[in-house]
Amino acid sequence: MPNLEKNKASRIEEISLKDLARINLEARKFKIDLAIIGGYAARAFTQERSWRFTKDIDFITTKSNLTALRGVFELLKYAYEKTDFGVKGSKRIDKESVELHISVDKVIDWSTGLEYALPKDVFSKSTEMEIKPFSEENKKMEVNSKVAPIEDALIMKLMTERTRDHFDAIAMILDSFERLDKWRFWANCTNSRLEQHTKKRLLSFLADIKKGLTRKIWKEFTGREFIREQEVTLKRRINELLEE
Amino acid sequence: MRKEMPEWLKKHYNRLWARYRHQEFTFKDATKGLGVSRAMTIKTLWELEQRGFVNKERSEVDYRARVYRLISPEDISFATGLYSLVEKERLEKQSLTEKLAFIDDRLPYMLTGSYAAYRYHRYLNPTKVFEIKTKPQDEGKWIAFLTDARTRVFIGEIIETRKISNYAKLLHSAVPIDSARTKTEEGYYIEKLEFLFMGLLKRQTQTSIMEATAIIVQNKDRLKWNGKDGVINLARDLGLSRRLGFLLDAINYEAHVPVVNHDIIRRIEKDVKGKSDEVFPGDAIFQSRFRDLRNKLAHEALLTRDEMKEFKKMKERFEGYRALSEKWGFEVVLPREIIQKILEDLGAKFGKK
Repeated sequence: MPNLEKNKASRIEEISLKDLARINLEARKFKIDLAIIGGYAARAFTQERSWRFTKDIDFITTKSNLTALRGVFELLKYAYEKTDFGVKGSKRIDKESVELHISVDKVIDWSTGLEYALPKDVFSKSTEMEIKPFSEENKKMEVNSKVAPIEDALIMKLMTERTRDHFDAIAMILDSFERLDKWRFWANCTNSRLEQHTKKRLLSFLADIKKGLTRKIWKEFTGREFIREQEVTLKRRINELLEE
Repeated sequence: MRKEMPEWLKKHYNRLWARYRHQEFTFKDATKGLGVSRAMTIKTLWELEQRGFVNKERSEVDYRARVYRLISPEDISFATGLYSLVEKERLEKQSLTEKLAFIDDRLPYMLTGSYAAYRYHRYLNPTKVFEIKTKPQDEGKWIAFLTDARTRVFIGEIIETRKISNYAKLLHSAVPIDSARTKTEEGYYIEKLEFLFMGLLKRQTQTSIMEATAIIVQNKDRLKWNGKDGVINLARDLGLSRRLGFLLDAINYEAHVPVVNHDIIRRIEKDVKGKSDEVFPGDAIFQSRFRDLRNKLAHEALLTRDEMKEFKKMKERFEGYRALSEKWGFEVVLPREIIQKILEDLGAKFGKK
């Protein structure tokens, strides 16, 4: 059988994971408040089956940390630029690029225009978690990075109108519900005036289960069937969250 | 992964084969057929399943309910023959794509679905499911060959909650496999760009639309537009010209520059006649959300002013392509941010790409 060399996609993943580890290290060294959100956070909180996201990495930070963060980007050879939502770091690898999107002080959602103001304790409550590699070739890599608390990561996923984010939210509820501090979740929703929106979203998830749409969403993003057992667990946990 | 069977397992396999051959059977049937204890039946079926010598399918309604179908002795011989060509320690390290490269032309196949799409767009990570188009008569051989410690093979729906590295799903191809595949530099076959792209348009789920968009942005100069197996002809033959034309127009519109040459779109336009009842995309989730909004807005008296404003805004989100919808003669319920985000992520806005 052919001895295949590492394919391009796994090389890009290897570089971005190594950079992620280095960013985490430098952020710790220089006491920069920085935590992962988005697809990579969903990856940390869910099982391997459900990772249909792009290669870009999303972070949160505060304005006061931007100068130090720029230094870290330059050290790792990422071009630094300001964007509508915060700052962006980008690096070319062959013909592809790896992008780091950093939301500053708040996270703005594209699809709804809603904003999530970062709570004061978001960085102190962020924890170092293992970021599992996606490609088979990188399976042995061990990368840890600071990930935003599940409460914040979940609110951000529930905030959008994108089905992909709703799928991530469902997977997080199924795989990491025991980590969720329900009181903190609702308090943070209230602080960003997202309480009603989040309630409606969770209620719509219940309606989706009833209509069979959750099965469809699950299949679309995992290629696998959503079984009855998962359906019952999801329903129970959403109700628990709504009762809090 | 061992393929050889110990004597006791061979004996049990032969007994089951003599009784059921290609027929489906349940756990209860197997216990009865083998005339052994429940524990021994569990062990037998487990050992056969691990080797890929039995196909197991679970019920969608009751996860515990399973039906089995044996792989024929000929198909088992085919797989064990292939395995005997490889050193055991190398075989254990083989990834699924390496196994596909190894099979080469021994069996016709092509990798399709999210893995193949990812090779072309490098945008959205694939699922853990490898979709492989094969010939129906080769299913047994594929199950016996691909099943190993990290891979399970499915013919029907994938109903499995156990942690497995790879799920392989066998599909049938509507076109001759040889004409629709191409070899990758790693040595395995994937579906040709143009055929795969058509498959994504046909599927018309939210992710398949995203993947189709990313494929156009990343491969616009590589896609074969004209000729017998070109995108324009394939779309016409499959009745997908309307969707194709709309998608290309929407990409150009959102990019603010022609990502795709206008001449190509004009040629597609010639293949589209009149209006259609079709609602695009046929994604059940989008359509359900849109229907709900329309129903809610149909009962204005029951809504507060704020609700009305909110629902109207949400409905408008789905109807962002009114002019293009009119041009292509079908109803489009695709939120604009879906295409906008891909163009932004891939740097294709304002002609950056």
